Amino acid sequence: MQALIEELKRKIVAAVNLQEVKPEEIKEDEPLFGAGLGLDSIDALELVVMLERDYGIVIQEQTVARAAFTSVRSLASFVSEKRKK
Amino acid sequence: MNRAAHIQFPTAEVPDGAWAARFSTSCPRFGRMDGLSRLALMAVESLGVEFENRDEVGVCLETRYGSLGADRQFLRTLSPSVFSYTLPSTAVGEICIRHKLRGPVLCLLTESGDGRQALEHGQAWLMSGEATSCLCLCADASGDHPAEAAALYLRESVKVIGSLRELCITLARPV
Amino acid sequence: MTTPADKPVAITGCAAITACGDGLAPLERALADNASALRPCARFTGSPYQTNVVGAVPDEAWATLREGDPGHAGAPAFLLANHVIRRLRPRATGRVGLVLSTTKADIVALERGDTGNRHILPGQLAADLAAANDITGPVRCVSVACVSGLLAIQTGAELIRRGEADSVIVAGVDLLSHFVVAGFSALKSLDPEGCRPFDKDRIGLSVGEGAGAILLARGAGMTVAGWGSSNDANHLTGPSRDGSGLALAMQRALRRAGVAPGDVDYVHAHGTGTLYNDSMEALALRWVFGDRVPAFSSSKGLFGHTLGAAGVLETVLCVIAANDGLVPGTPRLRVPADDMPATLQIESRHGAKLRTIMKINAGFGGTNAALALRI
Repeated sequence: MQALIEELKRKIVAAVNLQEVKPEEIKEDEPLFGAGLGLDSIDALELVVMLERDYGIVIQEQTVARAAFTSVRSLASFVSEKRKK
Repeated sequence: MNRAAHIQFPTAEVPDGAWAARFSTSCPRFGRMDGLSRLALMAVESLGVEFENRDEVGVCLETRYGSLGADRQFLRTLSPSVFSYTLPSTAVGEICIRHKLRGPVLCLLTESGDGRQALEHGQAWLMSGEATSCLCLCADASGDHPAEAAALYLRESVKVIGSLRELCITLARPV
Repeated sequence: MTTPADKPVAITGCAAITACGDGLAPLERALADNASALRPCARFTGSPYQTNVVGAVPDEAWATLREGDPGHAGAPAFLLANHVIRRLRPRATGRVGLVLSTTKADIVALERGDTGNRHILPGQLAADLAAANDITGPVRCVSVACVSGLLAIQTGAELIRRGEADSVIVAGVDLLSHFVVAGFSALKSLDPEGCRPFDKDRIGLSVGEGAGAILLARGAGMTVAGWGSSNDANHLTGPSRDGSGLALAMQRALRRAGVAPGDVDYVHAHGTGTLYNDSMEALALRWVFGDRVPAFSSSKGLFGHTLGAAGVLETVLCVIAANDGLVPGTPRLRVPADDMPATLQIESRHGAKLRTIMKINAGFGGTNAALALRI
């Protein structure tokens, strides 16, 4: 799980083109949206694209995305449960 | 007091290097914007204006190539965040967001991109009272030419019709 | 030629080509029937996008355009816009100007890598349309997302008011393209079944294509009494839009027209069918009108969201509605969302007297625009 968490941190930085934060600086329990890392709704869509492309996970419902994207740790749980790649 | 600025880069690319520090805390999205938006924000930053009556500040941008750079990038990547920048008026939106300006807005596409129409329409806003001050800009960052922008902050009409670019080069020249 | 400077700027002619077909007659019928022309489109069948349900100009109409102007058969943005401009040109007198409104011009040329194509750049498309129609007065090309059309009309009215033109053709055009459908699909903003503006189960918009034009001149007709625009200065694509920016644009238009909110008979809304836009608009309407929100509706379910053409085409709908004494309904709306004012028109209503109409649009980048139209 820790390897997946570190992998997701790198993918988040790349997908969202985050310039001022390095993957290792992201805390796995800090909120991704709003406070914490401060991603927004467009960034959320980039993550949805990344999940589909890299893990074969298709998200259609906004509510599913919101729950999964709470933190890197919640995203890692979501990915390890749903991944097809 | 009217203010003018003119910036230019060696190529069509708009680097964010030296400017990144200025924008990093106050504008976290800066590095992720398209070239036109970054260029427009830099031009306004160069004016060094303290905006007042932000609800009555108009923003008028003129451009020849518009969002062509972001358009090409979107065709390559199909990325949702790039799609937001495939409209030249997004650069106007970014200026308004950063400086909290809620006045009238306009984005004009012209063959010359020299800002003559932006200057004309901005001054018309002042004369009709639709705005009490305005930002007139011309900017291009997507063509085959070096990225270039000129920006004029008008509180009083200069009663000039002509190239905004030439006007700003003249006004922005160090005394 | 001079015309009395105290006569207001009026809409003295209209032309359109949309998913309903060529001309105003199909629009008139569709408004009366509260119909929808959104359909699955073969151009997008099998594509990886959220949907292929769009508002496409019918193939027969495209074929007629191409046969009528073989030299421009490969220039669809030019063909569509020229079609409506040409219709109005004979009636334009004195010093004639052109204001073109478009978000993506000939984007399909860029898609196929035709980099030398003149109409990829909207400014050049406008210049060529002016030249083809012997328009020698001022030429402007406005591109401000979904509010382009209304800002183009404002710009045209201003040119006449300042004496720079005697008449202005304001034309809006945008094409259905993979670029645009892929883009909204990437933003997960499309409703796979077709948009349902203001509906409690709405989930997205539908893209459309078309061209609309109006002729502005001092004289008789529906007057463009007031206009206004603003920026939210809040968020680019905006879940946090509270309606205050759109309200500001509307108040500016009313003030300029010398009209009180209580005098407005009907509002033709933006109503795209996305969760956020429609809620924001309900807030804006309440902000301006309090608990006396006039009858309002959206026509995005009729021919889709035509982007740069929307403001002009939807103004044409307002002219038709006023002429026919009709309050338009909201095609594809089934059950209004709970936060909607009660005056939301689901069905079309005949026998109405519309004297003062507001046309509003809101767009990407936080832009807002409003027109106050009076008979």
